[in-house]
Amino acid sequence: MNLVVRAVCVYMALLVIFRIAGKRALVTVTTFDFLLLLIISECTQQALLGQDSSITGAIILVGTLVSLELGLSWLKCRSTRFERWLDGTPLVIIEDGRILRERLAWLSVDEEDILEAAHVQHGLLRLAQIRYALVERNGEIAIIPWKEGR
Amino acid sequence: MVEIKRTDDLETSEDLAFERTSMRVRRVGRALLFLFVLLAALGLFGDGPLSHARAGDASGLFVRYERFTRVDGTTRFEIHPRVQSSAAPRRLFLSASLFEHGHIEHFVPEPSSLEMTADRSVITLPRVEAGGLIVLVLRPVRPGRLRFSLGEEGSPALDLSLFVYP
Repeated sequence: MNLVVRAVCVYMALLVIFRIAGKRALVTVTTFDFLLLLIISECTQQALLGQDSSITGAIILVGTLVSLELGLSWLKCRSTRFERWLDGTPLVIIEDGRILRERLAWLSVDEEDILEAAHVQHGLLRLAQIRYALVERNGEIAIIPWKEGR
Repeated sequence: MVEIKRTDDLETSEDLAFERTSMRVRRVGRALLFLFVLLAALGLFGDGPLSHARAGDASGLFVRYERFTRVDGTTRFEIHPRVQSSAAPRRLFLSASLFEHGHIEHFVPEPSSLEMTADRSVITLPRVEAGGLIVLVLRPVRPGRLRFSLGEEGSPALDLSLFVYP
């Protein structure tokens, strides 16, 4: 199969699979996640290259993948709808100190994940010290604590 | 450009209606992904119970093979020849369509000769005892349906059909 077609198919398949997996799927890379990423890259490498190990083939593939990325970025700039479907939107999970449990379930996030982000980002000790928490588009949890004195 | 909303002091581009729809789509997508993996495990895209096929009957020539395979993978045909009284070498016929869709990786036992005509090839194998097995390993190179016939001198040809995934 043509290398460009291979690259487009693999790129699209990965895009759909990782979008289905959710924005938090690989946001915290544990040792096992790292191994999983290596295995995934090894699997896709075979599908991309087939029997072709030429320099020209590699340049065609890299060129196609970068072009796809640029093309999607261009489309995202022109269509909010497209951008949302590709990247999602941030989602507030703690609002004014109130945990929005339904939304935690949507994203498979639990209080422990929020507390961990609070420890790392602000050195907070308790959930009660958090005013807002959001799951950003890249899947990371952003913590906004109450102002000092509360 | 994504619309920025303000809730108290917090400005975000949150879109709750979109996230709700996105979550439903994700759930359907995950169910489809699990179904895909299950079907793959069962053999819809290659080796597995759904893929096992057999052509012919035990009284004559019969072949066991996988009806689903993939481009650049290898697929194995187990050819059980009919019982033969003489010690003459076996002559197998393969239709030319097989060679248009794939490369033969190897034959066991090694053929002693191979003759190609416009529509088929004739493979001569050394003597294979009754109950013996002939193995043909094929590497498909084109996706789509692959139909070909395989026969043995003195037996009706068998029509085999495979689907080759890209």
